Amino acid sequence: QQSVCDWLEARKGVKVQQNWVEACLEWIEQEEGGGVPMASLREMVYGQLLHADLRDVVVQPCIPASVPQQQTTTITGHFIVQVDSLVDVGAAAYAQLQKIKGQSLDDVDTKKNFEPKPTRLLLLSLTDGVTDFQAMEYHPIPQLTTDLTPGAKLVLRGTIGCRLGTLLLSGDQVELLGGGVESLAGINRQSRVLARALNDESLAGEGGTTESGPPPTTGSSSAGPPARSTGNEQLQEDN
Amino acid sequence: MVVVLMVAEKPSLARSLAEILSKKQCRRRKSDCSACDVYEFEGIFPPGGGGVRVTFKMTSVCGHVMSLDFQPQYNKWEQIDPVDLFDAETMKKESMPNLRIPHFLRNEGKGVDYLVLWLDCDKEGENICFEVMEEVEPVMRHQRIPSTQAVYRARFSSITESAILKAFGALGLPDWNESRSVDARMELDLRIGCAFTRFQTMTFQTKYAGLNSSVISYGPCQTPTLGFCVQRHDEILQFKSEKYWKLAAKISRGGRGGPVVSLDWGREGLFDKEVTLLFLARVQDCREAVVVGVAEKPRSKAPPIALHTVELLRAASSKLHIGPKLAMDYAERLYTEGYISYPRTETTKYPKDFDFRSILSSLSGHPEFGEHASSILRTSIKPPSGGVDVGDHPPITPMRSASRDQLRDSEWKIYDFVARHFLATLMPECKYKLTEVEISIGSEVFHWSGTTPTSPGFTAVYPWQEVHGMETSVEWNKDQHWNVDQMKLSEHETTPPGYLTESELITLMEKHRIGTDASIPVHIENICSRNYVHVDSERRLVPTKLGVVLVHGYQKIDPQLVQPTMRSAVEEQLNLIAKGKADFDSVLQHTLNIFRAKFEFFRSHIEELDELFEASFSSVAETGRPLSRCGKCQRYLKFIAARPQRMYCAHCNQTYSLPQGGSIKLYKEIKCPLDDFELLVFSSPTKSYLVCPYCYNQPPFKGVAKGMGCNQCPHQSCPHAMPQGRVDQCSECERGTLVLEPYIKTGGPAPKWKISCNGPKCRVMYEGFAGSSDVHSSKERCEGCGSSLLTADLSRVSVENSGGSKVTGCWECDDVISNLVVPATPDYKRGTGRRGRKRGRGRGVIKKF
Repeated sequence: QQSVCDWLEARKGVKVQQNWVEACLEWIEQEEGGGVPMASLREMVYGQLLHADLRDVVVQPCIPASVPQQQTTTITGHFIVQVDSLVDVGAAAYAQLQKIKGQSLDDVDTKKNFEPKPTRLLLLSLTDGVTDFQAMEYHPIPQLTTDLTPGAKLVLRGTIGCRLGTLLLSGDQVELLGGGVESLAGINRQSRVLARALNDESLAGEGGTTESGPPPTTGSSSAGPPARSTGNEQLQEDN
Repeated sequence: MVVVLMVAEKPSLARSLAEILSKKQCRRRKSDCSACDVYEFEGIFPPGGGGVRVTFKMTSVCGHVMSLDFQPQYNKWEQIDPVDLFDAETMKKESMPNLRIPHFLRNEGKGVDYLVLWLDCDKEGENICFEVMEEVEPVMRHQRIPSTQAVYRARFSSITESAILKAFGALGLPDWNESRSVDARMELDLRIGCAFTRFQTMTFQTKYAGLNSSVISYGPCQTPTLGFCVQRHDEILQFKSEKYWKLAAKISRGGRGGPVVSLDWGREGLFDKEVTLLFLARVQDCREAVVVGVAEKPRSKAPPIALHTVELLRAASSKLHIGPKLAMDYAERLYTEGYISYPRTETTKYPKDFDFRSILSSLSGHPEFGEHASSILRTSIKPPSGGVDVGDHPPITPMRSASRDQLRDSEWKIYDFVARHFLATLMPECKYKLTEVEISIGSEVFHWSGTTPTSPGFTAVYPWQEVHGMETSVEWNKDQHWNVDQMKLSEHETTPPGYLTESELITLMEKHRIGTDASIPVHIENICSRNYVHVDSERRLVPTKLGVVLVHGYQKIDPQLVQPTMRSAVEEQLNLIAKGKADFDSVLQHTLNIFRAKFEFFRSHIEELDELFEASFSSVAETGRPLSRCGKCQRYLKFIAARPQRMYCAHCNQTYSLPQGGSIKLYKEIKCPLDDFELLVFSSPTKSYLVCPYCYNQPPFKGVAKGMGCNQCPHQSCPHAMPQGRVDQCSECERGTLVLEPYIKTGGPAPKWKISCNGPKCRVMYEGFAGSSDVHSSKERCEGCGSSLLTADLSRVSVENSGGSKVTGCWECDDVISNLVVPATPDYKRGTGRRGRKRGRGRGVIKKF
């Protein structure tokens, strides 16, 4: 166990709770039986880590806890963080929500552009397991999209500027590790994040569609050719 | 002499055609149709070789001769289950019974040798061809040589000499398939529209007040059209406005008097104030802006492609502020007068051999755009490369020059647009320069851009697409340094889209193939006149409460009823009929079966729509004011003033229709002797008469139509019925009777009595006996003319020769009384209706009391 802990701390930069690793290993043993080589064991624990909530696992924060209080500062190093949620503040939440729900307003091509041209700027809610931060896409980070699974893990590296408690990120400072947190998947689903931005949770469109019954079209579609048309073959040809 | 009958679609067209074909040598004569004249001239027929000398008779119809309707027994709304309309027997009936067009056609067609059809060259026109043939063919002279062609069709797209002569030289045959596709559409629209409309109207009209529409119609085109408007309405209501922030920078150079410009932030706007403030903090202290890059890009705008109907309608609405229906009317008038080519076309590509030169030369002297026409003539003409030739008519173009004062204002606007558009299509593109500048202030990037026109091209004649240059010119150079004068946060808000403009609606209709270029204006007009939408000052279509409720109801019950896909599928099938690729009956049956099933489903789920009505409209029972007593329960009937005005008995739960377009008042609490309902008086500017609410809806006598007022009631003893109020036969309409109108005390100075015709549409009216306290008609008839004698109490009126307080006499023949009566209807000319010649023939009786 200890070697796995050390490995995680040394190679991945996360200081995790011993008993979490223990539980992890126990579970792996149950699932896989004994005799898993060390290298795979480490990777398996690491895989579990990506899908865990860092808050339940981490013992020591990797980002200095003083960051949120400082006007301007920089941090340098290698930090594993978890993205609790993210939102693009470069575009109207309503328009984004419509797009997700497939009710894009853009049916009429004649419609004028009533909103600023979307220039993406992601705002991320991060945690290192102990402290929560905000970070923004100061320069484009193409590896991130709004479809990111809530709870996914990132590595931040290099010298990162912070202003008013917000980390200013650029693409070369971010590596996407993946993963996610099951408990965040629901509440931080993109549609709900956007609906919260609009102060109206009902807009998220919970649940599937519960339509009662299809409208009564004989032959389901009116577009079909006449049933007993003598010119039926010709009809199809022409279509 | 061989006689050739030629028929055009409209009277004005017949004249234009006759003038062209006869080289202005035609004689005009009246016919037995009041609207259509006949132009006669001599010529050779058939044209080309081998013709003989003939007499031509050119005349016209007035649009469709016949229209489709149900057999009369199906027109009783209360007695017919609407679903029966899907297979009820139909009949053709005259479109305009007053004009008696079929009779007129048979008359003019009697014994003619040839028939040439000059109806408009579209599907409707093809259909009218067959309507005309239906009347004329049976009465034509039999061909001396059997199986020679006797009926010809002329195909043309504009009323110019060359086009008409060309069409005349290449006569063909009318197209049966195209005509049948129109028959199919008419029948579908009639059956589907009537079934839904009647059901909806009967369900909701009697139940809710304030719908402000006499019919709650459904139409396979009309309803999807409304659907577009309501969809936008819903989008607007659902829209959530959000705030966003920008960095607003102003920079200047060269101190006082130097240029000052505002810049756009490279990040546009951000929807998070804190984040924007963070950016502001980073650049707030920067005093210097540096030009990072300057790009000058040549840009161009292509001239428009040739004009088709839909584009004309769009432009009329958005650029000229003329609604589609009116725009089409004006365009048609311009067409019949030969100013523009046929305005119904889907083609946007000029035909190969199109004669640009003759049009351009005729325009070259025009005071407003003549010079452009001449300059195009001086170069080689390059028609636009884009566009499609659908094969119907050439694009809409001017045909001859017209000056501003030659046309009415609105017609001029349409003509001016058509002419300018035509010229624009032949002119070079508009060129301009787009300057894009990138400026950095601290760590942030800002932009500036501006346009400079370099060569106006077609926009010289087409001002609607003009490229405007910058107000002040600014010189930009890379690495230039500017001073930052201002750097601040600006707050903005997203706004919902506006209501659909007519122009956008037309685009949507075209895209989803709702209606044709010809019917689009009609559908838009319909949803306006049904009070489903209204057009606001920017020509945007705002749905009314009624429109919204209806569409939401369809969406709940059967969204397909309002979706555009349904109609476009039907239109596709109709086109197959027109092309001869599908069978008329099977298309019809297939479509009717679908809609019958939809109707039945809709009816069985109507409570879902009813709920919406209930939430939006007050029920009839809750509105209205008590006015008169019900003859059945003796409780008060309520008068519902909202259109359509009607009476409602809450106790019997019964609604009674009333005449529309005038006021309704209680009449002296007098009851109808037949049913005990209290009589009401209806008065409009043109007539007033008594109405029994029950008799009006349930005619008590055989042979009396629904909608009977007391002035039509044949009751023999009721003092208010027609026989007791009769004055004379109406001289203007065939069956009308002049009846003394009920006298209503208005509190005005001298009361006047009125005599008006009881024919529902006749406007004949007389007034007189000013100041008389009583006038009534008697059973005695005038010996001279058969009018009923009138007795007037003239005790408070000073009239010469009256000889007493009461006078009885014939209103025509008696000198005293006839002088007291004058025609009153404003548009009714004095003297034409009065049978003055009878005056003095036999004296009326003056009784002295």
